[in-house]
Amino acid sequence: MKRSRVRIGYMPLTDSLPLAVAREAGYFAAEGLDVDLRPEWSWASLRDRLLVGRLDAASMLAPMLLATSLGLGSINQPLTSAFSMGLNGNAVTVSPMLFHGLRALAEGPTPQDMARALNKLVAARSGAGGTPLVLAVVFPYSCHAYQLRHWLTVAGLNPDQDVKLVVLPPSQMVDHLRLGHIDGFCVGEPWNSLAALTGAGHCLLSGYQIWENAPEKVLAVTRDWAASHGEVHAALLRALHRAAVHADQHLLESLELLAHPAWLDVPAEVIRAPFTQRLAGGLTGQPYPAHHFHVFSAYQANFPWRSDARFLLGEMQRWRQCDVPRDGTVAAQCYRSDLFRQALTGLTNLPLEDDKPGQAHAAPWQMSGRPGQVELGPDRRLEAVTAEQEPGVSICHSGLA
Amino acid sequence: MLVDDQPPRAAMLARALTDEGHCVLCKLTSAAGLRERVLANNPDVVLVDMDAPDRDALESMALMQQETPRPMAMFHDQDAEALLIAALRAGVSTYVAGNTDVLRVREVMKVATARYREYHALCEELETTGDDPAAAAVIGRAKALLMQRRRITERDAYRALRRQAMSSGEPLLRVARHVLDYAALLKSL
Repeated sequence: MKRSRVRIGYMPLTDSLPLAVAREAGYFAAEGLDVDLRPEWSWASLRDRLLVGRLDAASMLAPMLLATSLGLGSINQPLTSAFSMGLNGNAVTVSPMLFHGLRALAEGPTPQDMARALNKLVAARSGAGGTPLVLAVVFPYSCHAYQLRHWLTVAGLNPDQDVKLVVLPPSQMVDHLRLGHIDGFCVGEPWNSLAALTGAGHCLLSGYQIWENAPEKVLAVTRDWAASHGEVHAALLRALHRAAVHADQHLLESLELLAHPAWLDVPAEVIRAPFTQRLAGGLTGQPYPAHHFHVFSAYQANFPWRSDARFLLGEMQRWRQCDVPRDGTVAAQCYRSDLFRQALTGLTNLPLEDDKPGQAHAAPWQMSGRPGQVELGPDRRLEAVTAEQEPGVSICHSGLA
Repeated sequence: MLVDDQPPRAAMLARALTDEGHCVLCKLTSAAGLRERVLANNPDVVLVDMDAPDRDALESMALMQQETPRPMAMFHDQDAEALLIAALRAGVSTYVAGNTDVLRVREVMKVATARYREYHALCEELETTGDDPAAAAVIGRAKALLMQRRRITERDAYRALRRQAMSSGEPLLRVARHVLDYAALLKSL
């Protein structure tokens, strides 16, 4: 049988694990795929290579897929996705100096307490005529940017005025923090763990504390490629879903793959830190529970929820990055839940709905599915404590719970 | 403004652009401090090696227009899409200030695309001359001469030849012949 050749681009990060597992554990080969995995060094080059056909697929920032399809940046070529690479994986890390400043001002350990401390610190800096804090994200259209902006809003700050947001490549974040070029960042793993374990910074809050079980990367292809390579695309979805299940079940061994110099070139114990209670977080330095970080297949992590697309389009609108048509066509064209269902029927339980009613669940919950029910994860988002609410009795989830 | 970590390629491109009547304001080998350099130089066009890791910083300048006095709007002319695709396939990405003359931008992009392709072809040629015994012998003699005269290692001699090939835009074999011819000329005087 002739194997189908597929070129997949990725940025070396912990969340690219399913790609490594699919190759090393033979899931690509089992689907008749001959996959060439190609590392990229910027999100822009990953996107451009996909757009001009130098790549067939890419593990892309979910908001970047939507932005590109709206014609924001580079060539006007619509992209689509039928697969999400997983949930969570980001965190906010700050310099030792900013950390000590926040600890001195904070009245408690919750994300809201830290937010209030940040507000006081920014006001004091501004009052003393100091320069604004410089915080880095990986791309303007990214969940990292939206999570950081959300937390700054909880702190009562305007992300576009009260701090300076800059863009840096993920692999350079730790060095820039150590050199004092930036005061903090929001980035995917393993860079928060590397900063924490080498003393370059303190992990202040996990992405999970801002948005529980947040969407992150998607497998992006051009709409043309999806239309002309239906079988290969379906095989790719099956291989990646199996690899994602494998990654969840054998997480610590699988992460070892990423320590290889050709992938992350970071020690395995650093990559595993969030899952081995070695990543200390917050003002009290308690280790994060593993569920604050990557979920590769559980909680329907691979399903391309249209509600996720709409939520991210809402964030783009919220931050005045673009005007999104209100008729829902963008979400439906970009997130192909129909293709996911076609490819995975018979392999796993699939949700009946394309949307999940989110933002209210404090514990895992069920939705109807076929053949059986599907389980979804907690999905609350961090909210500011209003003036009427007494500190300490807030309805918001606190600390590292 | 050019951002390229391969100085010979940047030199080739700068010369070609200057020949066409364009003015190269600044050449950077890395995009560190790119934002400040863009603000200081106020370029009409920034040409960036597609693989520069700091490209996302430039991208964000283009997108976050309110942050920059001189926004680098991305080139978004429908007719020019083919040109943009050709440039990206050759490995060069282009950023353009909002009010720049479109015709000039097209010229610049054509020159950049051609030079990036040429550089790529040169690199390939470098790989393939190794298969031709006659060519390999000429390059070997030129290397030996450089090692002897300049007291450098074989690797450094090869690098010197390669650098000259890249910056002159000539195949490695021809550069090696020049070296041997020049040495013979000096000897005969």
